[in-house]
Amino acid sequence: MRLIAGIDVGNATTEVALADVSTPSAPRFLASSTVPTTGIKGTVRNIPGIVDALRRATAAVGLTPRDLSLVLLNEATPVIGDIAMETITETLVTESTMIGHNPASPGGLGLGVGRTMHIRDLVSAKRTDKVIVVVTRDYDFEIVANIVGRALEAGVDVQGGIVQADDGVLIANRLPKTIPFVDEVAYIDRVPLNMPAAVEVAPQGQAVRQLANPYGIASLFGLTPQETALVIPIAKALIGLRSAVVIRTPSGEVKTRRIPAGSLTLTGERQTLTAKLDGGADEIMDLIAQVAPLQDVQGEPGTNVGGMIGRIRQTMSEVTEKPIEGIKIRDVLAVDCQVPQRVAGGVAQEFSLENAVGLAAMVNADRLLMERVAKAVSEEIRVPAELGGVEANMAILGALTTPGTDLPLAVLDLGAGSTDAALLRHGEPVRSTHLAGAGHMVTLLINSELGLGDIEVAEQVKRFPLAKVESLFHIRHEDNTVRFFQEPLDAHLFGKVVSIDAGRLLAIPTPHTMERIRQVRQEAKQKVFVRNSMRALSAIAPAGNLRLIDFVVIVGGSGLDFELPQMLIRHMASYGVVVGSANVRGTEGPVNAVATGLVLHYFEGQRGAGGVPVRSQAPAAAGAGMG
Amino acid sequence: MPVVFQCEVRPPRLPAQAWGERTRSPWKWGQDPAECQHSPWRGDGRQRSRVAKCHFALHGGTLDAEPVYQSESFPESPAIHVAVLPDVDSAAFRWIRVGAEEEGVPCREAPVQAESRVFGGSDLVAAAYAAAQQSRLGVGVAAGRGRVVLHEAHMPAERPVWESAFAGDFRHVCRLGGCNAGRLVKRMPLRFEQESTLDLAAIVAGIVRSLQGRGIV
Repeated sequence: MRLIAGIDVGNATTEVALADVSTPSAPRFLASSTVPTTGIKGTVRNIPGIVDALRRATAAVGLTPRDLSLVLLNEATPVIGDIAMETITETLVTESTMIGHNPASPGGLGLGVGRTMHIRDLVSAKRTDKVIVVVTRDYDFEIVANIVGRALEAGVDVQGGIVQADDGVLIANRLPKTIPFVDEVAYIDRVPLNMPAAVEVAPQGQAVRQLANPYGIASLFGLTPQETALVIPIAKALIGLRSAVVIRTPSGEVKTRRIPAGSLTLTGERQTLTAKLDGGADEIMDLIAQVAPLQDVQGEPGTNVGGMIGRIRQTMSEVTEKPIEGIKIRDVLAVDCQVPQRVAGGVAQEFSLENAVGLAAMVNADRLLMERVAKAVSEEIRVPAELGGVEANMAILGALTTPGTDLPLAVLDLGAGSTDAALLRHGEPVRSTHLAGAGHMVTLLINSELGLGDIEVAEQVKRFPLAKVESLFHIRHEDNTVRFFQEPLDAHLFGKVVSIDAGRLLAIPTPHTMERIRQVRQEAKQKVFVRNSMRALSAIAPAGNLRLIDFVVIVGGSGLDFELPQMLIRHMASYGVVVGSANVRGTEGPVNAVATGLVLHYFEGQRGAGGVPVRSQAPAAAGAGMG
Repeated sequence: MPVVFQCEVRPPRLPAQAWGERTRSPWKWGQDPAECQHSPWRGDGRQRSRVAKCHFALHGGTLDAEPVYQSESFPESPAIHVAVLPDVDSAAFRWIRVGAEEEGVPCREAPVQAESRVFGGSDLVAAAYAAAQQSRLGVGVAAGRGRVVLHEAHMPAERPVWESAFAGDFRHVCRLGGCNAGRLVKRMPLRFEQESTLDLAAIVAGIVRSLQGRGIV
């Protein structure tokens, strides 16, 4: 028995295919394994992961890595990707002029307009004063109701209130008159006193109207047209909320400040173009398509994007141990998104949706890197290690083991760090392309758009379908089907949106509704994977025409996604392209294609008869129509 | 079966002094719907009183100082049932009701069931379970034995949904119990950690304990 192992080090996982190649006609595959990649792909930090993967695969057949005759690594185009996200707008409240938030239970109902007054000063209010009472946490709700009730009795026109504790309903319920109370205002000490203010609480199931309308605010405070133009950001930030307060301070203003987002200088083979980041992602992507093939990208120094590109270069330089000037960015994927950001200077921890741009960038590393890894692996396990073949070609070889596939065949490799595509036709060399942005980018978008602040949770949202725990005994799935449980569910899950991982329910710590989470998840996959798949397939298609590709097989870790292959199938159907997930060796599903391809390639080489015309070839840059 | 109908039949505005009186129940019982000046509402007691509240606000009408939907609409109207064991301050019910009120869910005190008194240690859980069984919302709360317990009618009798010991301020724990009962009815996530705001005594006690633990005090 001659045992060899094909190893594919990816951005997220390291996969091994173990086979006996002493057989006459075809290698006999014995085992496979998948472990998380350690360190950044293409560095010696990958060794622990590689060794672990080898150990698992060999242990499955009762052997150890020492029993191997040879290990094969992919002669990488180790496209290394990095991602970054920057907001390009920011809402800034100078002076406290706005409180707009969705406390679970604001009190009372309606619209009140008056001057802000602390509750301790209410006794000195004049009979006809219109007052918005400001209540700090140290006042019990009954005392507040008593004081306000007496003030109303005495003829003081209390119009509404701003409350620090969660007492809005309790106070409103104890007053002789229904007036609006906004509660859970954390920084009540920042509310300016003796200033004109308006408080609005909408009925259950509705949103504020007057304060979410610039002219509504203008009529309440008697604003000039110039001043009305200034309150537009306030009105915008209050849209969709059930309760809101607007306070007019003499110098107060709310601004949507545009942060200088900067521009990207895109250098192509023939021309150089400049893309402004605040023009949005579409403009950047259009210009990248124009300059293709992209040779390098520079960010405008002193701006956000300059910093982003600088960080990516820095990371890459450290990983590849090349000088920073030698790092060339070969592809960029820009994605627009809306990110909830805490309003600077807000008083109730308000959030405002800001525009942001997410960027994924990719550099091509060289063969030397993987050779270094191969050498280190060989030293570690004392088994010869060599580079077995170009990744794209190996992916095709592996994908061809899927039952029902034949040449010509295009492979779409949806990984974590990059989206790769390769096309093999009879008698032609493999055409391949590598694009920035894949699974990690989707996770980043989900994390930012939902404001989760936890990449693990975002990963969970990306990978698993959602459900809502509707009672202690049943959940409702995304598609409205209901599932009952024999045993009561954990009370901690009650009322929450959960993701379902192999029957286990994991709570998602976010106030967003299931519909919103689902929408963000699907849009993120659409923006990254569907878009990149189109770019990648157009780049390798004959004459750049997608319709000339007949069969596409999806491989890679993201091919395991529960909805992505279907999204792609639906999208590509309109181009007359047949798309489906691979089932490598008829058993592995979409993963293990490259590792399997390495073994097959070695076996063919050993027999001296190249069954498939696979030749090594330099990788194509992004967007390059290779000919 | 005539529809039991509630309606405010006071004049739209009272002189200011009238508010000092704080009459307990302004509602007239069993009035014929045809005589009502206001819109004909339908639905359960909770909805009616909520609509009533909006309705009176719009018409410049008036409401009693007592929270309206907390008052008994009719004896078996859907409400959270609260059982307070004899060993606990009777103010417990009031604070549980305050918690439920903030969530906008009706709540009433239910007598402690005779059978729940006979159990040994788990009589509190049994009382909460019995209260939940009686409640048409299927949610019951019981306070006593230094704890507050929240139960739901479909749960196994011995497994309460939520419970908490009176740590520091018992009023706060009771309010949290009422709040969670309301959230259980509304299908909102429950609150588990106690807010650290009012609980100064517990904070001080915690600091003292930790200092004692380190042998400083």
